[in-house]
Order: sequence, then structure tokens, then C-alpha cells
Amino acid sequence: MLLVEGLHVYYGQIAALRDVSLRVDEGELVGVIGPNGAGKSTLLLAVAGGIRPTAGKITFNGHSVVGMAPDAIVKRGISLVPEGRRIFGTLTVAENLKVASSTRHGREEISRDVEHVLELFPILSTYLRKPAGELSGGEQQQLAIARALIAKPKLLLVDEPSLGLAPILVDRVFEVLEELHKQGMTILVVEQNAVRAHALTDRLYVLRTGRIELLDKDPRLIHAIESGELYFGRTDNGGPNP
Amino acid sequence: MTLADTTLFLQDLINALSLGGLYALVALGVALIFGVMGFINFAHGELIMVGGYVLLYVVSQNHAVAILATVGAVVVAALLMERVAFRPVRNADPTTLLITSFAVSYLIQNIAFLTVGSVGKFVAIPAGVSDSVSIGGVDVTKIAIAQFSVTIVLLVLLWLFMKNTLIGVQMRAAAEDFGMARFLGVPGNRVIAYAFGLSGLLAGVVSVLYIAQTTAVTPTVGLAPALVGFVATVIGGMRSLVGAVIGGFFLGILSVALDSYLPGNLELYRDAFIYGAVIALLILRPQGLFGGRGGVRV
Repeated sequence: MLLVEGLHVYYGQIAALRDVSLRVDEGELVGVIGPNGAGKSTLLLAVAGGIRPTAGKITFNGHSVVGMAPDAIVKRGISLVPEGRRIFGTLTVAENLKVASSTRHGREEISRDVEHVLELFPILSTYLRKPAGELSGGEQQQLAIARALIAKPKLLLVDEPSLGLAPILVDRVFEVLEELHKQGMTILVVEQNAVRAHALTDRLYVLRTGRIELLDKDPRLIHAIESGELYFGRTDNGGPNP
Repeated sequence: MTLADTTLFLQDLINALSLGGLYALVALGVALIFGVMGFINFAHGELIMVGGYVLLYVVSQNHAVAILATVGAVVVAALLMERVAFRPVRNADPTTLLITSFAVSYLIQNIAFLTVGSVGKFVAIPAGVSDSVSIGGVDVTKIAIAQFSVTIVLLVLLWLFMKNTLIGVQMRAAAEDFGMARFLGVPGNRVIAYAFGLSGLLAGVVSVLYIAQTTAVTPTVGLAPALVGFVATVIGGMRSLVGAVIGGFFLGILSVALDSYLPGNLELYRDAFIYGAVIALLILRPQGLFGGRGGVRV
């Protein structure tokens, strides 16, 4: 479904991604973990058309999406739930959902899709006329995911869904992603909370300073994640490097 | 308060709302473009000027035809401006966009100087437009009534459009976060074209209302209302359409109030008082009246 090959992204002279390759097959829930500044969000932005790669290929269902505008990529079937939610705070919850309905046709189809999405996020039904900026962080995250689903994507990109949320709200957001996965949605999630990402995903990549590698779903990985060894390597005394 | 004072106050109030409405229309036109493109279009005043010259040539026609031709021509000019000047540099940094807007402004102004000359032309607005009518003892000019009524009707129509149509909701979303709107499939070209079209429509209406009052057009006729519109947009909070309208009315009311109540020896300094008040307001609220601080909720 999604194939990223030899992707390089530079911000001026600074390399954000170096020779990154990954694959997401239909129906998979794939994770990318890594420390702050590793290039995780840059990777998703490049796939969603927000950043033009310096080199490399991004193909979706056999067609290149490099150089396409973000709205054209949405039409191809890729939707992004960005880091920090980026909901439209002055618009109501209903309007936030309506914004995303460009790819749908006719009022009936739009209301049917909105109803379907609201079944997944019942809490949003009670706030339809409320300005989205007044929702709690967890509700905003649910709205951000709901909004991306309106376009009926074939591939959902989710950037740091747990960022800035209380643990109980993180549980709800991860439950939703699991539910979508069970329904057959293909998802690529980027997450700093490696333990949660390990539990959630089918396959896991780790990004470290712009380079990527695929990890085995080995139980010992949890230890490496928790000790910090995964991101920072091992010191002589067995602890993680500072 | 005597009856004469009350009458004077009501006259001032109507004048203030009428002038404020005009400023609100300019500010809204500027804010629409700023919202989706992220820069102040300094060529907005030239759109008003283009409308003025079109009106000069069609003013002898039937009123409705003259108004429609003027507004239509300005809408076309705004769409052309977007397509020819701004679309090629859309992804450039804001400084480039700003410089482009200055360049477009000077280019259109100089084309006007070369083709129609720098001398002001008299626009033969039909007699009677500037006549006054008495409403409950208060003398009000017909143009002031027209200005205020047209502003209110346009604001209501624009509000309905922005609230109820898909493209209107998408424009509001784009004004808040254009990049995110595109990640949701909102077509960038369409939204920007609509923003320029609506901005042109507002500039066209301002042309008609403003020239009907001044009855003269020069290549720099749009500068003064556009400048006030820019300031009103800043007062309102740049990306806030409601803020732009409030900012426009604020400046209109303040101008008329200072005109009426400043002592004679200070009248010359009216603009200094106005911009002093604007600076004071921006010191207290640097983000403008309706600009958000962008806090993150958890």
C-alpha cells in the first residue's frame, strides 16, 4: 500500500531524514517510534504532502505522491491526524467535521459519513454546536481523528496521538485506533511513547537522528525501550548513555 | 441633554456607523486575504481605485447597471491579481508575498497615472444622492443611509455564506490554519480564488460608496480607505473576520467622535489621536481584539 524508499529530507543544511525506507501493507497498523527530533513528524508530513522530500520515493498503491499537493493526496486516500491536533478552535465541532467533506458528494453522503464517524466518537455528538477550542485535549484528539476519517481514507497517518494528554485520555485514543484497525483501516502511527506503540502495532520501526530501522516484535524490546537503551545505546556500566 | 444635543448626537451616531461600515467593508476585504494567504494585500486600495475609474465611465448608465459593472470589474481585477501576481509566489515566504503586493500596488497605480493621468476626474454622481432626509428631526444624507444599510446587508449575507456553505466553512478553517485545511482535502486554489473574489466584491462596493461621497477619482484614491482598513484589521486581530468588522466600526466611531468633540485647536491632530488610541490598544492587546493566543489544551 505505502512504500517509502530512500527518503531524504533536508531543512536547509540540516538533514531531518536520511535514507529512510519503510513499508505499510493493507490492513496493517505500523508504528514509528523515536526520541524528540528524530524526524518522525517530518516523515508523516512528507507522506501527506506537507514537505517536499530532497530525494527518494513515496508510492501509494503504486503511484508516486511526491510533489502532489496535500489536498490531492487526501483524494488519493491518505489522511493525516497531525501532531498537536490542529483543530479549528473557532469553528464548532460540526463545522470541523464539515471542513473535511470536500471529497464527499452531496448533503446526504456527508451527513451519513458524519453520523458514521460520530458512532465511533459518541462524546462528540453532544458537543456538535460547541466551538472546538473549548473541548478538552482528549476530546480534541478524538475530533482530530474523526475529522480525518470523514474523507474515508485508505491510509490514516497519526502523529503523536498521546502528546500532551492525561493517561486516561491516552487510553481512550489508543482504544479508538485499535478499533479502527479491527475494522480494517490501515494506519501508520508515529509515537514517542514506545511502550504504548509496541503494544498497539503490528510492526514497529525506530527512527534515530533521521535514520530508520525495523524492529522485531521481541519481548526483550520492552526492556530496551524502558531502559532508554533503544534510543541512546548502552554504556560500559550497562546503563543508557546520557 | 437638550433636544438639540440629542439630535446632534443622533446625527453623529448615524455618521459614525456609516463611516464605520465603510471601514469595516475594507477591513473585511483585507482580512479575507490575510486569513488564507498570510499577508496584507497592499494592492487592496488599487482595487478600490479600479472601481472608481470604472464607475467614472459607466456612471451615466442605469444605476443598477453602473453598480453591477463597477463591482463586477473589481471582482475580475481581484481574481486576475491572484492568478497573475500571487499564485506563482504562493509558497514563497511572507516577505516575498508582501513585496509582491507592494509591487502590484505601484504597478496598477502607475498604469493609472500613464493612462488616465494624475489629475482627479469628477464623477458625475446623480444629483440627489448627497441630499439629506429628515428622520424624526435628524437630518441624514441619503448616501450615509445607503452606506450603513449596504454594509449591514453585505455583512449579513457574508455571515450566512461563511456559516452555511461548504466553501464558506472551509474559508474560515483556512483562515485559522491554511496548512491543516489542505491536509483535510480543502482545495487551496479554490479557497484562495473565493477569498480574492469576495475581497474584490467588497472593494467594488466600497468604490461605489466612497466615490459617491467624494465624487472624484485619482490614481491614489484607494490609499486612504485601504490604510484605515489595514489598521482596522490589525485592531481586530488579523485572522479574525469578526474582529476586522469591529475594528472598522471602532475606527469609524472614533473618527466621528473626535471630529465632533475635540476642541477647535486640536481638530488638526485628529489622526494623531486616532493612531495614538490604536497604539495604546495594541500595547494592551498585542494580538488585537479578537486574535487568539494559541494556547494548547490538555
